[in-house]
Amino acid sequence: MATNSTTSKLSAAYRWDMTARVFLSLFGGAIWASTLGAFCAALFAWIGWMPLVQGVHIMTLFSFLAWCGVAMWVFYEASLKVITTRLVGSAGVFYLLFLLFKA
Amino acid sequence: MSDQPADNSDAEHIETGGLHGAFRQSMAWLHTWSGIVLSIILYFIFVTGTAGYFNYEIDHWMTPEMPGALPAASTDEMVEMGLTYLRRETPDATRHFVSMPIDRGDRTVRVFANLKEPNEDGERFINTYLDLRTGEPIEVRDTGGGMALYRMHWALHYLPNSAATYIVGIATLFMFLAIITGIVTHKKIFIDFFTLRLGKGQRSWLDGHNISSVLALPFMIMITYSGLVFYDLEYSPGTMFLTMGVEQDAIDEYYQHLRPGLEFPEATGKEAPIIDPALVIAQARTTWPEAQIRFIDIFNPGDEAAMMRVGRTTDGINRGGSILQFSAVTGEAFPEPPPMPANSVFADATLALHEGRFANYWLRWGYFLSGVLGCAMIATGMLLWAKKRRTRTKKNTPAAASVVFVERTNVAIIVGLLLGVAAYFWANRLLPVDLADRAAWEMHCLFGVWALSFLHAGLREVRRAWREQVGLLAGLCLLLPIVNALTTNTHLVASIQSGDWVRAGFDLTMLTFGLILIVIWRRLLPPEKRHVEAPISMQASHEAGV
Repeated sequence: MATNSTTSKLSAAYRWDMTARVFLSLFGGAIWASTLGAFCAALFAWIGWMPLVQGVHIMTLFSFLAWCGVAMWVFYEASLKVITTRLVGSAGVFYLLFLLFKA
Repeated sequence: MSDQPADNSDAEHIETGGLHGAFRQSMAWLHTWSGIVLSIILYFIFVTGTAGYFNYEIDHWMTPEMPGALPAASTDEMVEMGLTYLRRETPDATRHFVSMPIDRGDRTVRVFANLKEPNEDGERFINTYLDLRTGEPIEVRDTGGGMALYRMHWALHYLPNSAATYIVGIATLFMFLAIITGIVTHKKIFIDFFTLRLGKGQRSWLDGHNISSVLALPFMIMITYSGLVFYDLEYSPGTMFLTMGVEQDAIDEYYQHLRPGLEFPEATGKEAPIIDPALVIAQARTTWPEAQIRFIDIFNPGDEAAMMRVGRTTDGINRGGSILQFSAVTGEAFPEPPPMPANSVFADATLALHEGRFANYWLRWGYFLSGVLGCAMIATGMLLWAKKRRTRTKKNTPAAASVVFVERTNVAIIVGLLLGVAAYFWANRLLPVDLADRAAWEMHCLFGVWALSFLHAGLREVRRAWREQVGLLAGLCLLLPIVNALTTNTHLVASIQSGDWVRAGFDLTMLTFGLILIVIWRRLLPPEKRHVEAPISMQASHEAGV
């Protein structure tokens, strides 16, 4: 990343990269945690472990940790492309699985 | 805080390839920025929330008209007093609630009623505090008290509630992330527990930051995570939205799951007198022989389907304590609600830990000191960030100007907010008692003084601004008990003589803060002035090389 030690001169590419990561971690993290939560809640109900509402509450409590994990990964992974692909891809898979188990 | 891992830990250079090098390096970077970006809001939340652990005590000090000692009154008498007032003033209410005082400076019976129609002020409820001696609303000065400070740590001020909730939520998420990444970056968390190198510039600030974080680490994790749990559906609605939807029925089902068995009965429209509450309380006492009854809550009073809830003070790490439900007409006990599911018990305990209502005075002081450490953690993080940029920045560059700006705002944020809180207490004593919107003016004083501290820090040289603001804060704290003595008859000696240790404790705490601030102020003096003003015995020791 093109940064100066005094942090006074940051390249446009770096600024864009950081802005994208902030949005990905905030909104991407929230969407990823939500789809994971929906999938798990539906799965728990389908297996018969607990009612859907209980799973929803548990996964809502867990979502803050999941979001935190996503934010950490987003600011560790070097490639923005990898982050976007994996976040969108896994959220999509979770959503499809949620629809499957909900049905 | 750091934005290079070498500052916070021994960086591992074996693993590389992340955004900012190794994993630990990337997390150190994230720790810095997630902590610093919203640090002003986090500091505000921590300062007001920490004061909030003594909200009743502050309330008591800020209402000097309140009697110092609690008059002897039984629970039955207090309930009768509250219900007599409510029946007289709100005969058509759909709910009557009477709350007994607790032994934390609370000296009134709180009465609350839900009204069928809005009253002349356009409100659908009344909320009043009754004087235990007369049974009538207590005549005290209009003040925000400790509750206003406490409330600001989640509702802020001058902002709509919903906006404040989301701002505080985002700040809390950032704090949670900063804590987790802070733990990840620390390799020597145990050593940090015992390391404080004073007088070493940037290194000392880093040690201070580490010590304040590590000492209260369990508290920090608990307080931020539970802060998120308070508004779980507001902050993380996605799972609910996808699975159950966000219609009112779904939300009702969600909360019904969390608190099973607590339903609001529908009125039948048929009149029926309510039973003597003393009989219901006597029944509750057979279940709780040792407990203090905290409240009586009557739904649809005067209706055939009226229900009476009796609550006790907290009996462990939970929020509401236990509740018993009775028919308010026959006194027949309703079946006990089913137990809460484990996830709900967990959430309830998490929130109870956050609020600390179950805490006795020793534990309450533990909460308070942990909160102070939280404030210190945020403040030292802000100072460390500026200090690092100062050492890296060349003079007379735009970057140098921005560092000076940050240094000045740090003074106004860290000391200025405390000046504002002190001004809030002064305003309570100095504003005319009959001033219209007095409570609002107390708040204006808090924010006005805080704003002035920004102006002052902007006009003065940074070190001088620190000295002057800390000196002023010390003066405000030390003089507050004197202002109290000059404006009320509840001065420190009178409070001690009457055994009102809550009020006396406030004055003594302010004196202690003032003395600690004097020590800090002396350390901020230039070395030559410190030497000249040092006591002779200290100078002699210094000259003797001791």
